[in-house]
Amino acid sequence: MKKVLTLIAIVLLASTSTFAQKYFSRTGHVNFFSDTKMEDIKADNNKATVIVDAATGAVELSLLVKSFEFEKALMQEHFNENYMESDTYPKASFKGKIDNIAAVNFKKDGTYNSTVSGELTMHGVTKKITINVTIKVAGGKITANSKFQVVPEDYNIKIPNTVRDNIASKIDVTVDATLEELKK
Amino acid sequence: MKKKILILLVVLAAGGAIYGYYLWNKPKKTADDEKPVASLSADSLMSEFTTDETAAWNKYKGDKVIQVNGKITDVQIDSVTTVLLETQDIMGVISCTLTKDQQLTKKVGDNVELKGICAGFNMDVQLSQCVLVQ
Repeated sequence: MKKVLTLIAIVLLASTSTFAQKYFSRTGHVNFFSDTKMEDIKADNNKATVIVDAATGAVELSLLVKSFEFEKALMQEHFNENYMESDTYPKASFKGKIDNIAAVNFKKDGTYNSTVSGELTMHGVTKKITINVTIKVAGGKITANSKFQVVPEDYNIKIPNTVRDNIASKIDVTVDATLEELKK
Repeated sequence: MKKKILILLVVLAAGGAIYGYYLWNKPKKTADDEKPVASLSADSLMSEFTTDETAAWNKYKGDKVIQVNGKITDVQIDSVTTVLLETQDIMGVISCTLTKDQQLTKKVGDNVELKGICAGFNMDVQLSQCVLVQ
């Protein structure tokens, strides 16, 4: 009898530790900003999906390129048609791992600075990158944010010489997401 | 003769400038401008993408307009208003971002019909520049 109870206890413990380990957002915010003497260009996407596995530290962010909103129609058109070729490459994604996942406790209030190493895929090109990510846990609310730079040419994005001065050689990318526990 | 060329150049330059200004400020394409290529329920649209994402994308890429009807499951308001339509899918919804001038009179639980430009499928089917169909 005791054995059975122990077994049940172990099973229960094991199941609680494997469940509710994933955190998720469907409204991740990705912004990019290009700052040159000629003009500033910025765009926002509020529909990125983000999944974080608290146990393994695996992180996945995915978004639709066409859901970036620009202020000017013309910029949005050029971005989708000439540079990102969104009909051919509709998605951009980042898949990586939180390097110091053991130090991050999603159940405990605090600010955790970490690096996430992984692969960024856009315009059909995949590159290894490492980004700094700050994870904040406050009263059960989890937010993650990151800032990094992307060089368009690294992703085989061709920018004509005539407008090269209007677009920054390194684009600033900001990611903000509020994560919720993923319930199954 | 020289004067004529000069006048012509000035006119061309002015024309170019006006056209350039027009292009720079031209309004975004909205779903209002075009006839939808398909009119269907939130469920049917979702199942097209979950059944064969590539086929569905090939059908709707190129800024095609889709008219969709369904029940509002959530409304998200930040810099833009996004209406989420319920589907039978476990995770996915139809996520419709309204144009800035659209006033949403419906609320969660109401049925709504709207049309928008298909941005693709990423767990949700995302439509942008949506307008309400009366």
